[in-house]
Amino acid sequence: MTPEEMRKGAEDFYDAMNRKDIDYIRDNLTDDFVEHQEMPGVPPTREGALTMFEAMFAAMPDAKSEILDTVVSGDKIAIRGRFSGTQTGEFMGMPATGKSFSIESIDIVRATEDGKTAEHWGIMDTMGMMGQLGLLPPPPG
Amino acid sequence: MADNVETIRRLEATWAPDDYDTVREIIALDFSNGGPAAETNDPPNVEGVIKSVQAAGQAFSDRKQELINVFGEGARVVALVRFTGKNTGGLPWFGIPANGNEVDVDWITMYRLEDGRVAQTWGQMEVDKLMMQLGAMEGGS
Repeated sequence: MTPEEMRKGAEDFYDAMNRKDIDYIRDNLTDDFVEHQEMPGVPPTREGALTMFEAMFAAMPDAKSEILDTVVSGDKIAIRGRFSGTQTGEFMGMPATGKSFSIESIDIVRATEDGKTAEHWGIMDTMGMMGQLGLLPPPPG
Repeated sequence: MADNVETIRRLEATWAPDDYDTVREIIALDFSNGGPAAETNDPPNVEGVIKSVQAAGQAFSDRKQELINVFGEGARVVALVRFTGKNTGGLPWFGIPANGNEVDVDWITMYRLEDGRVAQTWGQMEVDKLMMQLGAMEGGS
């Protein structure tokens, strides 16, 4: 795929996340999709990722993902993004807070020739999110 | 472009062996540093980054860094690094004593280079996972 096609693929995926289109996401992940970002309680597979997306859509119904910058080389794209929303339900062990958050993330995706997502690495500012939600434990000692 | 990727490969190889002269050669003194860890650098320039890395070196005496993924496009390069080590020295600024705990975390940095030197960075690290591995935070779920 050309860098332009890679960027369009990322935009389409972010649009799908923003409209909570789980069917698009299921079709876009390859059968042997590998998730490298640790997701507590779910396997690092397509099914695991879909479980995580559904939990996220339910816990943060107004969640918005925005692309700030992209770097493309060959079959890989890095995406620096902003993830914001209001956490109205329990998510990954975090109790519902009703508070909103806005954090940055960096993701790396390996795409197939036909534009599907085969592999994903990602880190988001989870500590920033927990701080904004008021969920950070006090420092020890 | 390939040269920029090669420059970042060199940079990422300098941290664990404490090769700070190469760090100073590659990162411009007053580079712009974005991401959650940026505000902790004192002074807020490359010397602050070196001080942070030296502190980490005292905490994790056997630390290793592995470059898992590196690629670039134009002026920008992305690197995914895996950090492993044992907490033999303690992290007093987090209130964490030496406890022999093993850590294994990733970080991703997006670099922008100007004339072959790093002018700007954005970074994300698995700080939450690091804190759990160090026993400073409870595992979420």
